[in-house]
Amino acid sequence: MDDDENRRSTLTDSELVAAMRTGDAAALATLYDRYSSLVYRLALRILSDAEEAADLTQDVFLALWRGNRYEANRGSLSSFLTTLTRSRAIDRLRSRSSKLRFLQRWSQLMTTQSSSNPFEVASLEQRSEFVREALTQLPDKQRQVLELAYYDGLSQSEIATQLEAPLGTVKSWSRQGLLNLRKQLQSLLD
Amino acid sequence: MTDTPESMHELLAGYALGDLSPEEAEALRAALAEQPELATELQKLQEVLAAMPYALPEVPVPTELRSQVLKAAQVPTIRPRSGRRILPIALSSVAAIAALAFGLDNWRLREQLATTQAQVASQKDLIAMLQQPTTELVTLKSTDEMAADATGNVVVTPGDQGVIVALQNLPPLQTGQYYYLWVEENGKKVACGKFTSTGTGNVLVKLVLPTVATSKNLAITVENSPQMSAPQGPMIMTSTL
Repeated sequence: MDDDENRRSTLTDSELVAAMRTGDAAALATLYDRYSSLVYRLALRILSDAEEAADLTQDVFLALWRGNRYEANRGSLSSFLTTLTRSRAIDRLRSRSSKLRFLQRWSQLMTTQSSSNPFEVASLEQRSEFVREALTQLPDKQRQVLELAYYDGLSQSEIATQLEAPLGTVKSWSRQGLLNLRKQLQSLLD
Repeated sequence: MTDTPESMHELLAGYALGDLSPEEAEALRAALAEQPELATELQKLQEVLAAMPYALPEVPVPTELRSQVLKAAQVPTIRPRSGRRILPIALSSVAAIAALAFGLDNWRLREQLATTQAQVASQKDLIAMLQQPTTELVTLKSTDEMAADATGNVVVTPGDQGVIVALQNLPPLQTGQYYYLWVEENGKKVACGKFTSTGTGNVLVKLVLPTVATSKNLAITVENSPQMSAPQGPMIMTSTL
């Protein structure tokens, strides 16, 4: 890592986005190093296909590079990236809409490995641990409903059918789940 | 989040999750108008939801992807003569109208925008066309009171039969009416295709010309039939060459 890279790695996300908008491709590289692991793991979770996940990861970072739609006052860069990744991944999922692929997704989830990229991911690892811990504090049903809605893009009524539970109950589980998660993550967000 | 009733938190959570009923949405809108500070809590809930993927197991990102992304970022994007980019104009105005209608940013809106972006992204031939170095932008101007505020561009690539029409503020037509794009070849107008305008007035369509056009003299008319071989209706926009 040279001096320039060292300096960039200490910049905030907003500072890097501002640099990127002046055409500074090195700022994009730093943001990529910071968030590609998060974007890729989400893309892989939804798409269950390494090649498609890589393709989508590229799409997302190019959208960040070319677009001007991220605004810092509307939320963190991390949530902008995960929201964009999720939407595009679910969109791709719907467009291929193959039952076979849907089944394959579950089997491939079992074979995920741990990353050994040591330096840049330190804070990402800390956040990951924090969110994982918070999710384990949730009642099973609340966590399950949140995951079905978030990763599988299922509507509340689809979830109600899948879990054979009344729609009102499912809504309550997901809302309470989100509120509980928010309480667990309060110190991280406030 | 201490002095807000539990039911309000449920509504905020439902909003972030995108599962409010119309009545609940109305109740929340009224509450947000009275207590703008609730929007902060809403944003926190959206952040919490968007943080869920952190909990996913870490997987190694393919090492070659980094250089691919950085290389792709160096491919120049086409800018129209006005200095503004064409696709973001159409999309951002859709988003701006939607943001005004909702009164605030929200997860669902961002989702809709992302979906729109994904739809555009899925039209790979369209994007590929925009990235060709020979692509030219032809600016269209209003020539009729009926579409006085209409502006936009047509993307033309020499040697390619496909053109992209990107227009704003184009009034919606009555049922049975169509906008037609014409190209003038050897003094004769040839139909390039037809399209309609949505409620937002934004149009982004790809039309395929019957032959490779050599001319960039373009015109848009309003016609009363879906099968026109020569223009009969009023001309509302023309190219400004």
